[in-house]
Amino acid sequence: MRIVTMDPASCVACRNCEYACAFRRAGTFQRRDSNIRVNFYPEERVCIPGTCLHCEEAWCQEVCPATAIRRNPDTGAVEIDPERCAGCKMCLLACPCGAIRFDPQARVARKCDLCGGDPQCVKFCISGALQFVEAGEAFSFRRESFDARIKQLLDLARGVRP
Amino acid sequence: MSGARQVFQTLCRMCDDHCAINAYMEEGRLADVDGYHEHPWNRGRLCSKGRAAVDLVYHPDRLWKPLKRTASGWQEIPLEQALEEIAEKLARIRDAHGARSIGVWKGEAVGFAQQEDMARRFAHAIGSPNYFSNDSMCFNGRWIGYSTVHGAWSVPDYEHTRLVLLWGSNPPHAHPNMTQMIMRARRRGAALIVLDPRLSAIARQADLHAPVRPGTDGAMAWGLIRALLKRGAYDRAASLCRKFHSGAGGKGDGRARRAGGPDRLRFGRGRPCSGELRGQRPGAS
Repeated sequence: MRIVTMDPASCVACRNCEYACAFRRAGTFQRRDSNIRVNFYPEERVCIPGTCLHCEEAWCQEVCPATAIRRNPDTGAVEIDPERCAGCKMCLLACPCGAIRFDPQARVARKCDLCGGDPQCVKFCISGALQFVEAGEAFSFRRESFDARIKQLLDLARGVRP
Repeated sequence: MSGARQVFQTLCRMCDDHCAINAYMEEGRLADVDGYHEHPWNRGRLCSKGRAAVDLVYHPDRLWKPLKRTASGWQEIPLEQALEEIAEKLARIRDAHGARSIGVWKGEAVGFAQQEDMARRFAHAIGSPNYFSNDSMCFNGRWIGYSTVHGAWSVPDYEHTRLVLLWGSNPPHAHPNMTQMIMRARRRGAALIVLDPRLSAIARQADLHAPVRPGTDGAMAWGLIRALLKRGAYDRAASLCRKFHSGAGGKGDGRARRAGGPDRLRFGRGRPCSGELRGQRPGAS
C-alpha cells in the first residue's frame, strides 16, 4: 500500500495541503475542514505536517464501538464510515498522532482516507515535504540525507576540502 | 455529472514558473486543473493559485464589458463609449498639464512581455516617457544581474549545489518549483541561507536566517564581499573574476573596506535563531 509521508525538514508551512484537503472535503479553504494539519512553531522555526499514517494495528479501529472504522481493501487506507460513526470520539482519544478530528456540524469523526488513492495534499505540496509512496519505501529520503552527511565526512577523512 | 471528461496537458500561466498542468474539460467547460504528473519541472505538483484558474474563466465577477463608476454604482457601457471617454480625458489632461503628466502602468496578462511593447508605444505616442510596469518591482533586479553576469536569464542548478543563498526571495509564494528543488538539494546535504527581514516561508527551513534590517542590503552585500575577499574565499583562478571583474583582488578589496564591512552588519532584532546555525547540517559552516 501507499501512504503519505511527511518531512518536517522540507515543509515550509505554506498550507497548500490544508487548502487542497478542505476544498476536497467540504468545498472550503478552512483549516478545520482539513484532515491534514501543518503546525508551525515560530520560536523554534519548525514546521510539522501531520496526517494519518494508516497504522497496521490501528488503535482507532480497535477502539471504535460502532465498527465504523475499517481498512479499505483497495487503497489500504483506514477509513471512517460516517454513516456508522456514533460520534463518541474514542478514536480521537486513541490516535497517538492526533490525526483524527471531530466534525461538529455532521457530528462524526473525520480522518484521511487517501482520497481513494490520489491524495490531494500531495498534489498541491510545492515543497515536496509530502510524498505518496509505497510503505516499503516510506521515509527512504531520510537515507539520502544520511548518506549525504556520510559522504561529506568521508571527504573530510580523505582530506578533500569542500 | 455526466459526459466524458477530457484531459489536456498544457502549462500554467498564473506566474512565470510555468508548471505543467492537466486541464480537465467537461462538456466544453473547464472543470478542474491539477499538476501534470509526468513533467520533470513541477513533478505533478501545483500551487493553489494554479488550480484557481477555473475561477479565472468562470467566476461571476469576471469582467466581460467595460464598467463605469457612476453615482449609483458600476454601470455597463459599450466598449466604443469607454474608448472615447478615456481618449477624451487623456487628451484633456495632456492639453492642460503636458504629455508628461500621463504615465502608463502595464500589468501582467497572458504571455509575458507581450503587452510591454504596446504599452511603451502607447506612452511614447502620447509623448510621455513615463512607462511603468510590474516588471520593475518583480524581476528587474534579477534580469539585470543575470544579464550582466551570465549574459542571459539562467536557471540555477539548485539540485546539485552545496549552498543556496536566497536574498529577499521567498520561493514558496513566488516560485513554487524552486522550493521543491531547494528541498531536494538540502536532502543531498546542501545548506540554505535566507536573507530576509521577514521570517518568510522559506526562512522557516533556513539553516541560517539573517533578518537584515530593511534598507541595509547594500551594506550587507559589501560586508559579504569584504569577508570573501579577506578570506580569499573566491575562485581566483576562475576566468570570470580575471576577465570580467574590475576589482577582484585589487581595487575591489579597498572598495569593500571603505564601504564599511562586517561591523556594519547587525544581525537580528531579537528574533529567535537569527544569525546562528540551526541543526547540524554539514556544509552550513
